[in-house]
Amino acid sequence: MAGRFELLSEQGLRLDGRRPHELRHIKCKMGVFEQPDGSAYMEQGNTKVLAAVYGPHQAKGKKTETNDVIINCQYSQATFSTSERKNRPRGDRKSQEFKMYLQQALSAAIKSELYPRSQIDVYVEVLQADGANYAVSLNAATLALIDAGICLNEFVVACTASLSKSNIPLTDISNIEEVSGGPKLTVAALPTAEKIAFLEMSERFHIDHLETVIETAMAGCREIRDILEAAVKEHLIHIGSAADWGRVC
Amino acid sequence: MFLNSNLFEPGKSKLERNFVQVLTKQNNRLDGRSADDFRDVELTFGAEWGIVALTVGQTRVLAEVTCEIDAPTSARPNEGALFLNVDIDGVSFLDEVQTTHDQRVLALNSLLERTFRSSRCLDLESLCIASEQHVWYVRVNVKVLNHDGNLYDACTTAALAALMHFRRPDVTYNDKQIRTYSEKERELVPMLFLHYPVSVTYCVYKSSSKPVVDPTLLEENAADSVIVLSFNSYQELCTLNAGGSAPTTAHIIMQCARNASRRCKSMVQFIRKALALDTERRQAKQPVGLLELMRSTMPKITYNRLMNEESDVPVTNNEPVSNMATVATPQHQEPQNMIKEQRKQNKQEPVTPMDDSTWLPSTDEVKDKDNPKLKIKETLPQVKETRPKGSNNNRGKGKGGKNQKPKRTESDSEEETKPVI
Repeated sequence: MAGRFELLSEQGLRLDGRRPHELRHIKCKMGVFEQPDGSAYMEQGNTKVLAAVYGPHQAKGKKTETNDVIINCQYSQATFSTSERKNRPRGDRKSQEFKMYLQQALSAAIKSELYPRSQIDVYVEVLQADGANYAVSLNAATLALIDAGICLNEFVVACTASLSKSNIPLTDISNIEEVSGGPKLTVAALPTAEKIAFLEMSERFHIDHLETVIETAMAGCREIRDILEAAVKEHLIHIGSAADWGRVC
Repeated sequence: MFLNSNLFEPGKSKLERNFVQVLTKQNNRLDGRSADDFRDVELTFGAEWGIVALTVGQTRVLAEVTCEIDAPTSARPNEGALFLNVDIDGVSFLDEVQTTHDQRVLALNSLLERTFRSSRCLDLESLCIASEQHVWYVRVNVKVLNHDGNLYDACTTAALAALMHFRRPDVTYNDKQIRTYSEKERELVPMLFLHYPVSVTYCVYKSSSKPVVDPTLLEENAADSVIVLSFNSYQELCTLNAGGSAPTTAHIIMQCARNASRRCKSMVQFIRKALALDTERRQAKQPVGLLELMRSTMPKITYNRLMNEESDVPVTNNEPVSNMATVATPQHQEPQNMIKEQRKQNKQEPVTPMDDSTWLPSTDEVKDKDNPKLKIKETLPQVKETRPKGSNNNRGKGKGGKNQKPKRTESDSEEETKPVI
């Protein structure tokens, strides 16, 4: 790819026809598996992610920390998730990095003091990678944690943002926009508290634009949070319908 | 042998963590700096082009640049390539648990890669000799010699200084044949840069909302979140990484960003000055090389010295104070005035006596514990023992300090005249 081509046309449309501030279409489902304590499936545009949570259970081996919970994450991309077959689904550098970032973001969300000497395992599998892999994985992990009944401070939601050549911020970038070389900012935030749990940025742009791009990503996070909350409520109604305790809110 | 080998590292025990949290709440730091104070940075260039030893406080890092000619990748046939690698194996007192070690190395490597490769700091097309056939591959190897916090900054600055210092052989391509000229035939060619990135690290603690800049190992291990910002001299943000168990707000990140951009700009200026000094010394046939780390024949190239030598322009240094004043307590105004006065004093009296009594005894103990346990793998025999010079070393060995004072005629005492940015 020779440098950045224009991500935004003159009519103000992106490559997939979205407006700059529009998110991709989100579909999510909780409780997709029986075996893990919590599971969720999430789609954001063409990015499809599965998350499973086991825990809290006793921490294995020497990892016991007295007062805080140990969050063990695994980020894995299926071999068929990218356009070229991915030889190593997990264990390569990128996956290790994302694993670290997942751990950082989730540790800001989970109420660690409630689970001393315990371990929570979070497994994330990307079935189709079309940009914002980390962000969608984190959103799916949040849903899976809620499905497992683990106490969270708040929803932790992630969203990506970028900057077009004409300095208009774009929300929720897809793979082709990512690869074209524009700057990419990923924010994992606690939207109601307006706090940032994790922030990562690559490529470069001038500091004057930093604030707008962060704000764009935060706005995206707030939107996604509303969508996730609606999904959680729907799930509650569904599973509680038999004994009619679903209508809690 | 020890099941809890991670207790060797300062800052991992609960006691130390709680202490640092309480300190941060009171706006204090163990080594007496304020939350916005940086440690002094010292550069030593090697005799060969592209070798740099950088010291930030006690953190020591060695960067080396090499190049070779090879075939380019099919995706980019007319560009050379830049590879960076950070090695932390030489420092033995670090946590031996595999996962943390890997994470640390991984984070360092990924940051370095994003700062230099993804942001396209080198002009890779200038490294092309013959399209689709021969290009230059530039490799930067950074070896960590001592870890006392803030490896991110040390590694990025060292890598940048090494790249800026490096010269590659001149090459011509005629009739499908490459001809490499040695140093005696043609002068070596320096690298072409598109921009110069440097990074700044902040630590955030749960007990206070104000981030602390340039952490020592103790502060870093006790931190809840770490923010790493990488700016270039044009105030463009190259990388940003903020994460940990203490969430921050966008407001704090923006403030850190503003201060960091200023610091990065002056850092790049410092590297340029240091390079100019080094070329001067080479032309004057004065001794250069890493051996200078042990000897003190030439005055050291330190940030404080080079940046304070310019005409009094305290304006740029005071702006960040007014910006941070919204978050900082009013106590910070006083140290600024003190520092300005001391800087003026220093211009009048070049021999500034170092006040050993300002150092808290606890710092000495913590640092002393680390020194004997250090078994630094020697890449170069020169960079072995703790240097005879340097106020940081003098802290550990009180007697050595008094012997060193008459020789250090030109360097300022570090901590007291630290420019607050």
